[in-house]
Amino acid sequence: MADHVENAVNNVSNDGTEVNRHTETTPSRNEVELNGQPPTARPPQVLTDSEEDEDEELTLKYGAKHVIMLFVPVTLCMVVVVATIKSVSFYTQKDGQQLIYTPFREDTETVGQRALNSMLNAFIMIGVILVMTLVLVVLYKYRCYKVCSLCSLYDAHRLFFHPGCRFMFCFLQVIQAWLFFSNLLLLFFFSLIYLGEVFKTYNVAMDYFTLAVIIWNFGVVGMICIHWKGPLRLQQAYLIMISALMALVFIKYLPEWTAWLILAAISVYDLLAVLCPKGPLRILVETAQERNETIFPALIYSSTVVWLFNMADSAETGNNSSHPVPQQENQVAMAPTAQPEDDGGFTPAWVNQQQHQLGPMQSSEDSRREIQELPSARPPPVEDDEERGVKLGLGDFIFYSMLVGKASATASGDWNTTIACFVAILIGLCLTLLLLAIFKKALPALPISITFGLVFYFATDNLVRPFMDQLAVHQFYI
Amino acid sequence: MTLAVFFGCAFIAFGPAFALFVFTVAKDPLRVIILIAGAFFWLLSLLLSSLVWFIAIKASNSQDLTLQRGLLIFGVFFSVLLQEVFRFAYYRLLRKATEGLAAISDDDGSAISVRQMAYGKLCLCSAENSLVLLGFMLHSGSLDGRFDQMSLCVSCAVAGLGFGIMSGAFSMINILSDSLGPGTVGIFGDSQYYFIITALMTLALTLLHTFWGVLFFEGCEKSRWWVIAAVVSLHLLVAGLSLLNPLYEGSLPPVYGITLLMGVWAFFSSGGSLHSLNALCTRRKAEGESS
Repeated sequence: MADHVENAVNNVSNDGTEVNRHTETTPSRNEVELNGQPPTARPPQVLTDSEEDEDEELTLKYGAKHVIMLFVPVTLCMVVVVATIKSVSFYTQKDGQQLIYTPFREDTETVGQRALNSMLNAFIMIGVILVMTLVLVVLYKYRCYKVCSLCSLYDAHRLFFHPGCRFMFCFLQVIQAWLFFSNLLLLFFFSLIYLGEVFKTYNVAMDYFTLAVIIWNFGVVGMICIHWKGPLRLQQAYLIMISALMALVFIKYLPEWTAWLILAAISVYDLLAVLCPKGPLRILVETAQERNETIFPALIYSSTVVWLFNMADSAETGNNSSHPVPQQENQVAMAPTAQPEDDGGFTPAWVNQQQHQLGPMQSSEDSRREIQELPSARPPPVEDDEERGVKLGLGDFIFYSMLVGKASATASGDWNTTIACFVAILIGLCLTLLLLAIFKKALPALPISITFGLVFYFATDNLVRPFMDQLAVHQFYI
Repeated sequence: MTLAVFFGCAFIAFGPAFALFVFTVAKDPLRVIILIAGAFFWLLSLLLSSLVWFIAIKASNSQDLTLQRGLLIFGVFFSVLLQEVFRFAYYRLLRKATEGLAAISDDDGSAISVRQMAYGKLCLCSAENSLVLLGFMLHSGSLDGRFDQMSLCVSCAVAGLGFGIMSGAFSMINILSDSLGPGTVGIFGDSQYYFIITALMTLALTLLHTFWGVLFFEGCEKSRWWVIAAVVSLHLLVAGLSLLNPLYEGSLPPVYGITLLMGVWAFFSSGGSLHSLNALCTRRKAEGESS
């Protein structure tokens, strides 16, 4: 399905974009990169006795602010998914249909067979994602030569690679068109189904004409907001909605054990892909670092209005102006190149790892060029630190919400399990950001949260639930 | 049943906690994180204690009802002890973290005294009163000495609130969702006050956890081990009182008495005084006259 491609592409592009930021801020962050210490430069307006304490305090404060900026949308997405699961029974009904990426059925006679089938399903799904990522890594490596073709340094390479590049480039555009189409599908078709099911649940009578108008407006405004320009809150709302829709689709169409295995497997994959020296995402990151470029700007949730700049190769298009455009991506989240002393706390590495989890992504060549950042460009001076936003990939939203949604759908412990998973995921997110602040290198965001979520799901469902049930029956309080 | 009971019990159980959250925690992102981490620590303690209980249950004869009840009671007390252990662990974590926050700036008003929180809970139940009190406290310069002390103080109160909210959520939310549906409470001869008693107990426990958080901090900071012992034993006492259910007269009034006592104790131990109470009332009157 398109989402797998998107995931792969998103993972890839996440790394690229993050690397771009990473390299951007390297000059001002050299001391950070080298010794991992917070920069000793001090913002002039803060007066304390110790510079490092001040930096740490600011780091913690702004880090906390950015963590909360992520808590709110993640919570909202989860709330939407849980509310839908609890009220609309459609998404918990198993009508036998499965995604094409999970061909093996789980209604087998023996437990062993079921386990085997679900493992195969998860394996296939992760394999698809891995293959797409590799394809994109390869494409990126070759595409870069085309991009730099005007540069005299690479002329020889251009002559050598150009015919192949053209072919690959077309393929790249096909992928981007595919992602655009998948977003279209999500905004129109899936939301139509969702609305229909909600109406069925609440027994609301609706004629087709009104429905058509509603869906048309919803979809078109969504496409405009997400892919072009729109009010920030509306764009954020749409991104949350499509993440929730995607998570609901996963909850409905993935069989039980397959879903849990996929959650576990994708965390492991994320971990390996980012941290292993030969991991595709890491290769992508390093390649993008050498090129000093971004890869695919993907659908990323951003909490502030972003300022966009044209790429260095925009000499091709003859457009070198930088213009502020409200879009959802590429505000340098916490990498203020203009104010190197204002460390948002988690800057390059944090942004790096945020780029790993991307949701459905699409971009035309023009939009991509537009929103790819000029490596040497400076963002407009931000007077207020609160204006620097945070970004989180939509894949994160989708998998977190999928976990919590499954917890509320299938756990017999009901709300206790849901709450436990919710808290576990939020704490995992906090810890991930904390680790980033400490290590200041690219780290994946999925593993810790998903691990905590899974542990708490199974533990709460099997251990805590009987305990709390017994306590509630007798009205004992602990 | 249905909506009236649902909303009534929900507001009883979570109203003050929600008000505390909105007025003192929500505006500072760091406190929200501390709150959620507190909830997480409580959850961990619950997990471990249910693991122990589960093992004990599985190892025992499931037909013997008195044994099962005995094991449940053991589970209750073990869980209480484990909660206090995790409270201590969280205190140590917060202490380490706060040392890095020692110079937190007070321009955003984040250095709110825990006194204010304790006081707000003790005497003032309305949002307006809490706001006035907080404003007064900030302006009067009655904040204590070092900021790190203050922020750790506040953090412990917030952590206690996290414990309380999570404890309340786990006790209450399943019951709330059941109360939405049709049914008759106590149709088989049980008490018909089940929901309301649960809500009241949840409220008491939430407040108690917050107060205990403050007192625990005071005890650990000043190395007054008797305070810690008092907190632990009072927690055990409250859990023990709840064992008297469904004899609600035996459990609910004493628990509320203990809650009030804890509130007063927390208020005075965190620096409040009758003078500040008095000043609050006169200032409110003055504000009322001038406006």
